[in-house]
Amino acid sequence: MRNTLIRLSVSLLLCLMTACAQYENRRGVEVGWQPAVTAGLVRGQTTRQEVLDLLGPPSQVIALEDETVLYYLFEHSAGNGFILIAYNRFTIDTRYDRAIFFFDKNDRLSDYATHTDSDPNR
Amino acid sequence: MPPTRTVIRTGSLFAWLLACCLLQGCSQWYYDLGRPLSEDQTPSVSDRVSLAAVLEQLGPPMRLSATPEGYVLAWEHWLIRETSVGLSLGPMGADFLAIDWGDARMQGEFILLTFNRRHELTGSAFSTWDADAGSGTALQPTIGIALVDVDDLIRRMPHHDWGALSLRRPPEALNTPSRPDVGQSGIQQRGTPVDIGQQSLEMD
Repeated sequence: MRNTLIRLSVSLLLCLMTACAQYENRRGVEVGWQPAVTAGLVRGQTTRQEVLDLLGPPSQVIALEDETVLYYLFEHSAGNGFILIAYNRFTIDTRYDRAIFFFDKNDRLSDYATHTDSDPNR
Repeated sequence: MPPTRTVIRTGSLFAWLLACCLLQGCSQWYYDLGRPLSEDQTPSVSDRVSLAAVLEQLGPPMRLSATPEGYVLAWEHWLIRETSVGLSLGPMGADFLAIDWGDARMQGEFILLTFNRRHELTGSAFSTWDADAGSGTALQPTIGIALVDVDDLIRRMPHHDWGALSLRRPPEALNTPSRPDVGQSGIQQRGTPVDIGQQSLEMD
């Protein structure tokens, strides 16, 4: 009888064995648009080539008749989960670091904005 | 002959163990995409704000497209909750007989702004979502199916697919110039059905 109880207890523990999990996913271009890096950009002066040299190929290029947009995106998802057999909970938090640059027909920077998740103002 | 106390106790233990094994459990998934937005952040056309001022306030948009008049920019934030509860014989090694209930709910904010070629605001809209995204109940004797599917709501941003679009299945690759999420033909919100509209040609 005692052996039966031990086996049952072990089986029960296995059934109730809990677990936790962590999840992380990164997609996109390398984040190089920190404020310190983009501080040298000047509207009306900086060229598209200078931005490309600074940040590399963008995630997306959008062409309008006489304007161009370079869009940089880095997607970071982080999650965690509890697996308690009877109740399981998973939470995934996704943040987007991004930068956008508008260029006029002369390939000069006309508008731009950047955002990184560490930016306390956003 | 009446069962002894030991037999009853053992039987109870077995029953409890069986119940634990049968219990597939309650699973909850929470997705938080982006940062919260509010209507106060949405500029009005009467404010006559410039693109630079909007970018300063909201940061780079999540979605962007050229239009014949200029640009359309969008910012979004989504909270998606997926819940499922069920009983299954799976833990016992038998992949049949499951009883499931599923539910999904989505909340979100969406800001849409349009600009002309002089980078002046020409239109603005703010919308919030707090809606049931789907639910289901099933008794599945032999075949298991997913009751709630939120994959279309949590897919990654379309910018990551730039360049790779040309390598997709012919119906999708041929329709790339008309896709509403790659920057030339407008934008679309997360979770938009593809049965109608610009992506309907991509259906099998």
